[in-house]
Amino acid sequence: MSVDDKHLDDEVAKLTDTVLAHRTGASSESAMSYEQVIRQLQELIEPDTPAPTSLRERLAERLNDEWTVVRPRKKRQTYYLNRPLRIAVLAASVAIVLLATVLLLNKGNETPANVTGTAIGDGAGVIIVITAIIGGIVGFALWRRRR
Amino acid sequence: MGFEVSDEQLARQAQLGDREAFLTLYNRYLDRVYKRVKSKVPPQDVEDVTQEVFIAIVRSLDSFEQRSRFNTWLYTIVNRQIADFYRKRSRTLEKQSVGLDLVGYMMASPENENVDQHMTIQRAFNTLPEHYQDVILARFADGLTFSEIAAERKQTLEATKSLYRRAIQAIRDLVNGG
Repeated sequence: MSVDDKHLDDEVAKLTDTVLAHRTGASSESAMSYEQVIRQLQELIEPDTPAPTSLRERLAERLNDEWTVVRPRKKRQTYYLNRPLRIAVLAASVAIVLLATVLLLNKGNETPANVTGTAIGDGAGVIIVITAIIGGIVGFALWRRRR
Repeated sequence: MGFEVSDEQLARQAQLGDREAFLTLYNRYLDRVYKRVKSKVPPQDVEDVTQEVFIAIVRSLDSFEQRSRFNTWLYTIVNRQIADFYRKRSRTLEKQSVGLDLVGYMMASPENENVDQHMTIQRAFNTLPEHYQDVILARFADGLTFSEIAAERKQTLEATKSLYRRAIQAIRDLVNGG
């Protein structure tokens, strides 16, 4: 970059600051040809003019409505698509099914003398095994639903 | 209280369902978005396009990833909505040649000199490369100083001023038919 270019860059930047601050200042001859464009951009964008209040209020209301419609659905979708949670549920249900299987196999090794009326042992054993199986089924169903 | 929650933190809270966080972002960015839209779209369509931008933000908030800056993501949506506006408009104008006649009238009519100037500068601005548009919008629409723009763009102040001067020069040449 030549010294002239750098000088011109500074002049145009300074001129822009002056125009945007509504100050008057003589621009250099080299920067003068840029002034009209800077002023036209100022008229086009109107940096000092905020969005109209009517738009601000109307849009805020519209966005509130849109939020109510869109965001709860998005939130639920995000929950169902949560991969780590899905894997955790699957692992838990597999573990529960394995536990139930192990319990069933252990009960099967007992001698006929200990059998108290069911194939899987006494009343507490039945409750544990049935709970484990139901837990496994529920876990698997949840995992399927979230997939 | 000098502490202000960052845009990215607010966006994260909004993604988790916090409506107030979203409305804070809305209030923070409405003016900037409005001015950006105004720079590129005819005056009568500015409010509609601004509205479309914010609706698109609500709908696609989940696509914002915390890896990028929030304003970069937001300005991409602004540009996409403006492009959509012109795509739809060109389809409508193709169907209604009257629209083109009206544009022709506005260009020719001497009492519409201001409209003519407005359209000329806007058309020139719209044809600029994106990095030229960005540096002008950062100064005019976002109200950043040249030092702040340099910091945002991770450039030296000299490089930013040079980019800005070339952007203004490009508009000048387009307007003058150079």
